[in-house]
Amino acid sequence: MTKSIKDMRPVYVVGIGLDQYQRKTDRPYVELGLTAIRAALDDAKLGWPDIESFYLGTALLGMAPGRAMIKHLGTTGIPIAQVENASASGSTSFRQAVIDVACGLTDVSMAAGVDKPGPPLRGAGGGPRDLVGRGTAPVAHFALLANRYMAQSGITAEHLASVAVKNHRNGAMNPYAQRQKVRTMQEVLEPPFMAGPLTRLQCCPVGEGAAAVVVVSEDAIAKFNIDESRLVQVMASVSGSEQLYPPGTDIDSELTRITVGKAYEQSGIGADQIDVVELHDAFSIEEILYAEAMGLCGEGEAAELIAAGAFDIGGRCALSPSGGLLAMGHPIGPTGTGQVVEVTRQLRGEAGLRQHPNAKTGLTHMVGIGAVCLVHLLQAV
Amino acid sequence: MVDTVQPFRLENGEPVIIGTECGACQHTWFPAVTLGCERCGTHGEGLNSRAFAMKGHLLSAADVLPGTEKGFSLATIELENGPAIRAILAESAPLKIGASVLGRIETVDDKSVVRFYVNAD
Ligand SMILES: [Zn+2]
Repeated sequence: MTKSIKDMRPVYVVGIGLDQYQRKTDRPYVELGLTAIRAALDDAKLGWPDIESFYLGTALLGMAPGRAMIKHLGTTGIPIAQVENASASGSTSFRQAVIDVACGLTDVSMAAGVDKPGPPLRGAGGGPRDLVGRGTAPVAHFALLANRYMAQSGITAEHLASVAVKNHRNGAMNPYAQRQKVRTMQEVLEPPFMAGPLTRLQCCPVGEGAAAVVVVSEDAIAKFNIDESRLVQVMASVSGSEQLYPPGTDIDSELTRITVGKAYEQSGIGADQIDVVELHDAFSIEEILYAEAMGLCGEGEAAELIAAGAFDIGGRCALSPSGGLLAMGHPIGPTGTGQVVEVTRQLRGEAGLRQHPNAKTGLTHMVGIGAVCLVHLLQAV
Repeated sequence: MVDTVQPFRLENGEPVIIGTECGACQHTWFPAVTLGCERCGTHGEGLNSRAFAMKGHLLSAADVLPGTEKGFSLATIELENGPAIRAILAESAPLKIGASVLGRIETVDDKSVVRFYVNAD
């Protein structure tokens, strides 16, 4: 019989670190990654020699960039691997580290993510000719979903933009965010329109950054005398990929609904227990679609609830308290690991100005082109 | 095989796009790829080339990079007798979900292209 994470050895997040997400600079990726890794080790009060396996989420750096980075921590001969899973690369590297500890392969593992924007690396061999060529860039895809949702639900451009107003406001309180400016509704609605109703400030910036997380077993907590008041437990780890859905189905929402549903089922945690969510809000419409797919509200209700403040920090559930992809940014490889960093900070009560009161349970969610979906449920111990 | 030739033509004077139908489960898709059926895994000779009439209805539409030289209007269209496809709309039409659309083969900048028209009966 197969098992889920909940049935295996308990896994705890005990160290988190970031290098600020920002526009591409001259700093090498090695420096970004090392900054995040050293911060996570310091936070856990562990040393690099304590790490028994290492996974690096990255999509833009080419072949095997991990070892060139971690050798500067002092070589220890541990197993390492790069994890590429599009936008969900950093979420997948986290899952791999969690699996190692849950299985008992290791007591202390690290997941990290690092990327810098560069020319796209394309797989060998082109696809078949279609009717649109470049027309299916992500922003065009989500503009089609936005227009359809708006026509069906009757929500306004202001409803849609309220996602970005909220997330920019949250990002303005996050020193690691790429965008740290409060934006008014008028500013968010200002052209240029990238596609459909999606203005520039309703599309995430893709810059550089790094994130790192240390996960441990109970044996490691005892061995290293780790502070138990700051423990965050991994309650579910679910990874899924797209299936063939009925015609007209929004693939990203359906895949989210299925993947999050499995996480709820495995953990026994329900949507009504979720206090904080970091989700894949690369475009404003996505937060609306995924909040509904996650069961955080009813179908067709998310936009009005977001506009009314229900999903603000301090509301019924904080959506994208870090600023999300829209404001904190989406450097690709680090993004999913960075979500775990933010949710852990929230569940420890260490999120400062952006602290959601009494946050006990959190959810992270990334979708990746391809199409994959990664969901983790985390809970304060 | 991956088809890299022009994926549309006139058939008995009617514009069609060329996709694939699975002989085992009748699943259809566009553009044509005979590497394997996404629903049942049938491949090779079990997959047949199929022409779909350029008639359908709008599932959604959006103007991409409006007001710029690169701007165009993109649509998701469910074909009457075929799969849902992405295509270019000839006009920057306000969205009317369910509106019927017809495709035409046209010449733009010396290139043969397909553009769809809303309510173009
Ligand atoms: Zn089939």
